[in-house]
Amino acid sequence: MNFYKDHYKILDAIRRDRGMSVTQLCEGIIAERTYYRYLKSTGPFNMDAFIKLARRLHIEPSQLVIYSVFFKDGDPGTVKFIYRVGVEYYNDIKEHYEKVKAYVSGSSDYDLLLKAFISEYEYKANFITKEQHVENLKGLISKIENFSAKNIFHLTIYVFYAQVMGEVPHFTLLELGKLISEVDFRFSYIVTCIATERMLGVLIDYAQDEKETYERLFKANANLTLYNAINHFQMQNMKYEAFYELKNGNKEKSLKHLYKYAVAASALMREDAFNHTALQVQKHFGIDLLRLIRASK
Amino acid sequence: MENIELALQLDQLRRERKVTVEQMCKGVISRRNYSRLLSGEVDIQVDVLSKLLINLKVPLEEFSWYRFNHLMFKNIDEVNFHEVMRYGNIEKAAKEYPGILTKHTLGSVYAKKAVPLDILLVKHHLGMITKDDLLSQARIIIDMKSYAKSYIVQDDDVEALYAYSKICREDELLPIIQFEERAIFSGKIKLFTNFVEVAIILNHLTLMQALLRKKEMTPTDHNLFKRTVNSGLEFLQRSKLMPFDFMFFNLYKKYCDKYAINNPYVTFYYYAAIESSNHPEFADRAAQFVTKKDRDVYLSCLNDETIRKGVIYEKVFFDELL
Repeated sequence: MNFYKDHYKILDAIRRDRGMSVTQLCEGIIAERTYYRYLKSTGPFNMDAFIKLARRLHIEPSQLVIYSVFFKDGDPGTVKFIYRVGVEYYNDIKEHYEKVKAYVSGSSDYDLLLKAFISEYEYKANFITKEQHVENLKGLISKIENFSAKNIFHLTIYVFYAQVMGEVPHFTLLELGKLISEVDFRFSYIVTCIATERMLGVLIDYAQDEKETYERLFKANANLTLYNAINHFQMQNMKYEAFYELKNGNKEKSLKHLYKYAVAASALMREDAFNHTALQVQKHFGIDLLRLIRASK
Repeated sequence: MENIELALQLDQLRRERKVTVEQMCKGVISRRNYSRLLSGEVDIQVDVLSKLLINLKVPLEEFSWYRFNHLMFKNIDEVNFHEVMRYGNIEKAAKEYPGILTKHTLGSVYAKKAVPLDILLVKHHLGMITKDDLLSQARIIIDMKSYAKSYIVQDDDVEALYAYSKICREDELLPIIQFEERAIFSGKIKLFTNFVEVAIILNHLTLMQALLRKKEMTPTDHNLFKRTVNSGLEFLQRSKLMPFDFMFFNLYKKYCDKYAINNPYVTFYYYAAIESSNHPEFADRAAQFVTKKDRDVYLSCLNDETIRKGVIYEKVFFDELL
């Protein structure tokens, strides 16, 4: 796929919208003739001039790339699909699921990640069994080339595996948790949010007595949610904070966070999801969510 | 050169991914030319960049996000200052970000309009400029005529207009309403933004706010407000953004209170949004926004067993539109 074929066209659309002439835009950067050549061509161009032109229009060149890929015709909706699986919003996912499934065929890191998300969704939507999901994830893990402990795409596949199995190949859960807490979230922020949030759930479910890794990962998650307006992550973080305080013996603080989680869940979750989380909270905290809301002042 | 930074970020990713220079450059450029890219001796061509990223197994769009996030964190003070202002905590903005008022060069994606407007608001709050000065300078920054003819808007445009719609004169509301109606419903305005969810919901909030600020709403205004609520709810069902849900229901509840519309579920979602907020700008101020009566309404709705059976927000859509 030629990801850069539209860059100059989008740049030019913005120029026209801003009422700036080609002369004004190009002055001191490139010759107008070169500008028109890039505009008509779908071939490569010089990044330095492109960055300068974009900044003259008060836009960041990276924004332009993202726009041309995601909001034009370059992307089949992979980000929308990842987002929906990550926040478990399935009402309008079918269209994105089908597009992404038809699109993914390679074995790049991003392809493997997308396949992991497809399998995760198919499992959650009961299209495949737990055993099939585990086999899919095992296959993806075996296809990872040059595993990097800092590659969030690789780590996320392991996290999905850990969610269903309570263990992962090649690492202990605590090692995986530690690696995730250390990734640079500026790269693929939303995938990092999903992996971190899910890994905290794994630690609660399968490594309850452990404190250090949970604390490390919880702090990473709290940091991530500072830059994240998505209710799902904010809400889950309240539950994880409640668990963190409980682990540290601060029962009152734990209840405060759990109350916020309960109120958010009461408004945002559908019945099946609410009942599921209420059972989990009962198991881990020994508390009834609805009773907690009603008793609070 | 502009792209030294780009080359260095690429190299940082390479090192993080434990890929050697040879592996990344194979079939694309020589090691020597790669070194020249890093030192800024030569410019990078976009096809070279794409091929290097393919060898690195990093999609170009992910690399662009990575670069964009670098920019955001490089100007994180401006971003944080603006967010505090967006959420209406002017006291905190004035107290915790005094450096922004005198910053020579603004560099964030909000640098052209939103942050300069925020700075004026803080200066007015601190008594450094009069209300007339605030409005006249804000009017220049906003340049409402540019919105009227624009078909591509950026984060900065959307954020600044939201702020301006709260302070402008009543006779300036009409062009804001017209622009936002076009932005939300015409499908002709493109959002050139990396925060598309925030931009969409802010457009809705700006329109709701501008309509509510009118002394008298006409039947057409009421219809537009209701269409905006429905459109915003449809969007919030998918995006669920905190604390925008609270801001949305805050305006929706004001409308219901002002025009005597009785729907307890508006209060239910309003109360739940503020009471559950963990957002630093709202969590500590939650008590300012809700009353005991709101809580009673919330608890009463909680007893409704049907509330979680349907789709979220189902009970607060308007169903009688012209």
